[in-house]
Amino acid sequence: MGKRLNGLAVRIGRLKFINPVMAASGTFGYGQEYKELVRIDGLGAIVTKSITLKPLKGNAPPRIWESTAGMLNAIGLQNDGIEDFLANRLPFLKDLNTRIIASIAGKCRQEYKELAKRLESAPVDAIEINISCPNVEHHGSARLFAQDAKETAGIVRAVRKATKKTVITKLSPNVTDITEIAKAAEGAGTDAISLINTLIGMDVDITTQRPRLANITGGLSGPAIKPVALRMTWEVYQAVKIPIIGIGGIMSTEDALAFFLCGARAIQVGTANFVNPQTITSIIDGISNYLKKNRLKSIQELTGRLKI
Amino acid sequence: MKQVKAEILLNKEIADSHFKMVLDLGKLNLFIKPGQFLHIKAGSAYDPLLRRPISIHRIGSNPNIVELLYKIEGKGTQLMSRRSKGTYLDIIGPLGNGFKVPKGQSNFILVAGGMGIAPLMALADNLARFRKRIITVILGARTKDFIICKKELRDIGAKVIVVTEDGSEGEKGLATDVLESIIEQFDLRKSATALKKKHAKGITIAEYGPEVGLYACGPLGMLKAIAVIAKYYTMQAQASFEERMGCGVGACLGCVIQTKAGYKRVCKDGPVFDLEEIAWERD
Ligand SMILES: Cc1cc2nc3c(=O)[nH]c(=O)nc-3n(C[C@H](O)[C@H](O)[C@H](O)COP(=O)(O)OP(=O)(O)OC[C@H]3O[C@@H](n4cnc5c(N)ncnc54)[C@H](O)[C@@H]3O)c2cc1C
Ligand SMILES: Cc1cc2nc3c(=O)[nH]c(=O)nc-3n(C[C@H](O)[C@H](O)[C@H](O)COP(=O)(O)O)c2cc1C
Ligand code: FES
Repeated sequence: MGKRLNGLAVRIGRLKFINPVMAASGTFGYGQEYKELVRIDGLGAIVTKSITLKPLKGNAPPRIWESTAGMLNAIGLQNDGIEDFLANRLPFLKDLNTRIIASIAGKCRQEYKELAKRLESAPVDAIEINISCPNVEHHGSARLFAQDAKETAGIVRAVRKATKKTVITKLSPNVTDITEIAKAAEGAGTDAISLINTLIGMDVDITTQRPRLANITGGLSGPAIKPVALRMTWEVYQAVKIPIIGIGGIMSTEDALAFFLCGARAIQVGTANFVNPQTITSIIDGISNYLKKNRLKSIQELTGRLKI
Repeated sequence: MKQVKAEILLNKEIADSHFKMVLDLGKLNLFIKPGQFLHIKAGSAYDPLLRRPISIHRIGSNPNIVELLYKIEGKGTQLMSRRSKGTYLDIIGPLGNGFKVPKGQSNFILVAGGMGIAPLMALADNLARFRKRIITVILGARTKDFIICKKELRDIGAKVIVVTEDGSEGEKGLATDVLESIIEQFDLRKSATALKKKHAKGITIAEYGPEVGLYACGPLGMLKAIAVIAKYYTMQAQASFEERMGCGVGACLGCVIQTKAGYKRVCKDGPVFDLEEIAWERD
């Protein structure tokens, strides 16, 4: 698979990745959007925009607002649905020399299960369960599935039963105790955990006295959230045995290395793709150089090596 | 579409807070269409974090040399204005669809509100390359200091009508105020298929054939008014729209506007849309 870089390969579930640096859901479209700018074949994986059963039109604009060292978004899971994904997006993705992870989002357990089933025979390598999108209304007691350990376990179990593919569960930071949710997902059979999704926030235009986003609130991402993401990676690392994929504000090799030290086996890059589409490629090279310089055989030696 | 470090050949204030920047995109042999834009990283720090979209204002005879026209609005454009000649700017581009000029169109009315002249100048330049094209440009601005490109437009043979809100130059009012009278008196005689039609209220209005086109860029209120006028005179009209952007390449779905066919991305499906496509009522 592609150019072999020493010591960068990692294993998650039954899957081997050529390197541990992936494009995060919702920030890299379906790969095609970036094909003229990025050498996609060298990426560890592409996580698709979250896919739902039926097309979703998304939230009213304005949908994004920049904040200090970050951005708020309230896209509202706009996507054309699973049928469109299989027919129109996957043909481009499947020919790439990179792992394809399909992110799925549903309104109930049944929908997640259905989505996993539809993907079972499709040429995607893994499924990332998005239970943590803050922009869609859910029924039940908690505002998000990801805020309820029982709901989380229920969805993971349903998906686990429907697929033999590697299953990754993506957690929300908008919870009291993230380890509780992580343990519930692990118990229900997820192969790995990815974290974090965006932190719910808002901003206000004091001239018009209106919220900056039509949706009022949105998800905060970018460098501003890195400390929160690192803390949660470290907490979850101590609580579960399955691999963790760290996400949140990663802009550089240094940022990425901090996540490995806090327990990540792999990482995803989101907002940084907008700022500089070369970020993932340069982090892959940066990690490779770091390993050489520090005479490390594999990036896996770094995972969880935080000294305390 | 490419990501390059473009050399700044010139960065000069031409009116209060209004800057002209000339960039060398390197030997890319990019094909640039009027109406396309560059997505620019104004500084290297994390604030502002995101790139800023700026239209391509003029394309040099060497197409790798492009001109931008921008106004300081906040942190990003402020940083751009401080960049000096000889330094390099990280850009992605050209992005977006650009204006399309339908075959058979020969009579062009361009309406620029304020900075709206930025992409329209590139269009005017392009149109003027072909003979027998009638180009009329309405330049609207707050005051006479912000009337930009008047001379450049006249140099390429366009007829220029100036409108200022304070009446300090040209007619007093808004660009759209004069648009109708221009449509009525100026273009009718030169238009091949325009015909006078009795309106329900007894007023005579002109109805135009496909050889007349309206092109606009400016504040949303202006575009909305132009949409109404274009419909009334059965004129084809396109406009360049703005929305806050994330990726600029169609991936994040952050920049959508409401059209009759659902949400569309300003960065990829636009920034130029047919005015009749836009669903105004749902603003
Ligand atoms: C396709 C496209 C082409 C453009 N071409 C030009 C151009 O040629 N010349 C030019 O001067 N400007 C152009 N703009 C607008 C320009 O992108 C914004 O003025 C700029 O991003 C402001 O950034 P800032 O950091 O200076 O201001 P900020 O601090 O980000 O904002 C300052 C003010 O500007 C408003 N604003 C910021 N960005 C936008 C936007 N994209 N649309 C509407 N309002 C905005 C904000 O609401 C705020 O009130 C274009 C925008 C788009 C979408
Ligand atoms: C515009 C935008 C859209 C996103 N869409 C999704 C999505 O559809 N599904 C999902 O699981 N996460 C989505 N995310 C969250 C990112 O995948 C990531 O978890 C988050 O942005 C934090 O990482 P970052 O700071 O590197 O961006 C989105 C983020 C942004 C900025
Ligand atoms: S800015 Fe990302 S889709 Fe337009």
